Amino acid sequence: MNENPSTSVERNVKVVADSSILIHLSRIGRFYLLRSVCDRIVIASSVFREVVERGWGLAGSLETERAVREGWISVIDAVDKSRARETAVDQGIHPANAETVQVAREVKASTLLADEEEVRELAERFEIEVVGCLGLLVEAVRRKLISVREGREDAERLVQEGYRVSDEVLREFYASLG
Amino acid sequence: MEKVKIAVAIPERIRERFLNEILEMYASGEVSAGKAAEMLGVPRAAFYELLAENRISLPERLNRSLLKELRNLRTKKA
Repeated sequence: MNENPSTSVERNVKVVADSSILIHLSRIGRFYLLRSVCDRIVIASSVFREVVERGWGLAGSLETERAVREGWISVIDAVDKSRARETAVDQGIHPANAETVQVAREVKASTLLADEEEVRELAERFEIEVVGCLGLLVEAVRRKLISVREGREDAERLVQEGYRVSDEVLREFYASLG
Repeated sequence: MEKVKIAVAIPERIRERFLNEILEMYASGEVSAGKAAEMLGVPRAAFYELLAENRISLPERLNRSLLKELRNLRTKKA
């Protein structure tokens, strides 16, 4: 059992994020949109280790560490770690990715923010809605947190920063912005 | 039996070839970003920097998944 005393609060949070989205949004200076759109987020402890501890000084590390300190990102361990490990072995996926989906299942997340293919595929199998950076930008435009023009520029920056989606995906993104 | 540690300096061209192989494996969908970063011994954020520097495209499976997500968003909006 997870004996963290703040568990009951954290278990009410419905949005879980993987490391990819924290890093990508940080790279384009839009990390703050996570808070604006989702309010509160949960990440697995393996994601915290990957982004903040191993990746200290790199994109996403400072922002994530600060968000945890401010309390709008909560770090939790999967309760059933053995199931996460089994999933990682059975599906041949990275243990941190399996743990992220396991945490999402345990907190009964309505949404999983992820741009890592393994996480997205596994989450969909458990019927958890998956949203990536582009989907989050669409939502930010709809809520008028950023303009359509800024949304388009952000997508271009994402591509420059290594998130090289296909032209078809980009066209669909532009169409989604309206 | 006691293990003997051997330090080997890997020539730059071999390291570069290894890096290119891993990036290719990622682009073809053979390994995930997490696995690729682990194989290279770098944090995930450093791996994304490598993708940017080497202009590596996202794997086709991920593109398909993103396309599906965005189409669903448009359907919901409509």
